[in-house]
Amino acid sequence: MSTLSKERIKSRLNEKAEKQLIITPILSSKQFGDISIDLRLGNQFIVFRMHMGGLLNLFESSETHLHRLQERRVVRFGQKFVLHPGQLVLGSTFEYLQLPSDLEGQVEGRSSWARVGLQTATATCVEPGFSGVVTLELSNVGAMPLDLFPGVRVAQLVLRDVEPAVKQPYAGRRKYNRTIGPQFSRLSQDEDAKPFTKGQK
Amino acid sequence: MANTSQGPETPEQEEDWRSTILRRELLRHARSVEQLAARFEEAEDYPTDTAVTFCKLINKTAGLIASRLNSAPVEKLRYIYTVLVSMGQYLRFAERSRIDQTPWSMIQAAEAFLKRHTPEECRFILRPQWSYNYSIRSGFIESLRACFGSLIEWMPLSEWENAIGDIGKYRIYCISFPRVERMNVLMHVSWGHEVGHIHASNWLDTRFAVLWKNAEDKIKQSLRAHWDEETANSEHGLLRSAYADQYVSGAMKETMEFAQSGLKELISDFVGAHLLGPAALACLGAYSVRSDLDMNPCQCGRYPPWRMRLRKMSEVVAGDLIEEKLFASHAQWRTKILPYVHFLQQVNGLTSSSDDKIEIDADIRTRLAYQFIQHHWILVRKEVISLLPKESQAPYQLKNRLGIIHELVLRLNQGIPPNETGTWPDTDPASLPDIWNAAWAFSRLRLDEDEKWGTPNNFDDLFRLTLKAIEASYVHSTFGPELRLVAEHEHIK
Repeated sequence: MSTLSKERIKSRLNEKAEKQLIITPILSSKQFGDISIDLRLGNQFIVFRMHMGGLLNLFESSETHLHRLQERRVVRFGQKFVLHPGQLVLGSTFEYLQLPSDLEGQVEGRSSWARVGLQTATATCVEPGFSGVVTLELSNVGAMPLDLFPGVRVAQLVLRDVEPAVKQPYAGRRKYNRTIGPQFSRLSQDEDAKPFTKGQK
Repeated sequence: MANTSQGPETPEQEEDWRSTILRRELLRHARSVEQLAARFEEAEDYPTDTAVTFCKLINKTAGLIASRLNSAPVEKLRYIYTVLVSMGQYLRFAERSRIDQTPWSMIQAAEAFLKRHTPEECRFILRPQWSYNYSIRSGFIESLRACFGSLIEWMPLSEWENAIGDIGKYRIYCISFPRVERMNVLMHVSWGHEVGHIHASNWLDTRFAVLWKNAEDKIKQSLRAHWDEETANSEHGLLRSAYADQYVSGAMKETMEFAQSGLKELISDFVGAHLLGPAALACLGAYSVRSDLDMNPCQCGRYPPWRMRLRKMSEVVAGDLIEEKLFASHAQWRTKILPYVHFLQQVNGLTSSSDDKIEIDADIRTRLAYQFIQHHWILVRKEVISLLPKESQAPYQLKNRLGIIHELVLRLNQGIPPNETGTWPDTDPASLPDIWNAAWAFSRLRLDEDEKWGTPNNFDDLFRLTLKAIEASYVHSTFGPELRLVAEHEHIK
């Protein structure tokens, strides 16, 4: 399993049909690093409405209850979203990705942001066949509030070959597919968690 | 001023007593409107700046009224009250245009599109309404100007103009869409029709009277002949001529109103189809299924029958309805786009019936009104085009965009937003009309390919991808050129 270099990323962007890597739109050549491509911050955020509920039991909460705990905020391009110390919000990449069945991606933060306390993504794996914008778990572990402007490069995607290619890729069978904004946790859909979460046997 | 702790005893005292209370109430009312507008202005969650500008207009105007109320003449207080009531009501247009109420990802792009195709002073607020239709409201600044113009003995008009500053130069329009269709990007093609209303009003204000005057005598004669025929056996005696004049004068006015209303809608449809091509016809065709196609304008708020609207719109996009011509030298794009063309042909097929004309002819007023429209229609279309900004005067034609639409349809088919064409680094952001046409073409393709396709979830997927595409293409075309320059500059360095 090898990491794709800049040249290979560019060449996969120009492949045909199911071999093609989609990252759209790429607004500038500055987004290409030697072994990664930078991703920009989208303008939708999910913030938590802490006053709307106490203990968060993700396995037992109804969809309605979970919706009540979230608030979707949209910031126009050109305006900012302020992330305060200790705050976690969900954002997403501006770019829409579609990975072919023989590539997987890792979303990582950019060191320039990490140095001021911004953690960008913790669930970093983008599976083969994934289609959509990538949800970013943005948290400020620094001491100062951070101005986040939609459109700035906030994360990087490192791509690797998957051998052999996945037979039944992510598309059409998984819960976070074809998204155009950040998605809240859907742990309640984890059927195999139920034996563990329904109480002592 | 009367002491309000003591009740009025004479009619003069009563008037004085009421005015004192009214003045105090108006001051409170004006300050409330001012503060509400300021609060909305500070909300910062509007998809564009127009709502903020609009709130500023209300804020400054209400503030000015409040600050000058003490010197307002008693006899104008109730008039000032009506102005404040209107301004308070105007605020709903801004409040409902906040991001969470709108298909926010397309509002900036849509406003940019609307501005590009209207005079430069036009600004737009897009917001939902509960009634199930699209509409456009205007005249906010103009009506306030007229109000202050009639209050010059209280304060000079220039004082209000100074208070609102540059906002006075704008014409603000509020376009409303059905709230329950917020995400229905296919239906929002109707915004092309709404922008057409601006040009229709402009044409009606400047050109209608001239054409009507030329046709007036002939229409009068027809109405008189009709009356004579209808009343041939009636006894009117010496008053016959007076009755006839009375009828002709009333019917003349109504005929003119039918002609104006008919033209207003037909011109708006025409502009929509001119700017957006077949997507406008597809949208009107799909929307019209909710109503009777052949209602006489007398029975449906003076609107032209749907069948006539579809006919006139089909004429605008006629070149894109003939598949032999369309795909003559582009056979490679035929498969993916043909179902769209077939749908457009089916919509056009509805216009071969003349039931709408029969309905229209059943009433002499609508018959004469629509004869007038038909007689002048080619001229009207030409004149309306000349009213459009220069860069909007060429029509959108599918035949010139086939390659692009085909590529965008393929992207949708692949589950990718249709926001650009080409592959990196040679990509171009797609235009809003192209994205709209591609979304319509894709929906028809899928309905044709798979009889199970067409569920609410399928449409929801399509709406989301299309909305994402509109936003991405807007950001791409707005920020892309500057980002490219920065990258090139650094490369040279």
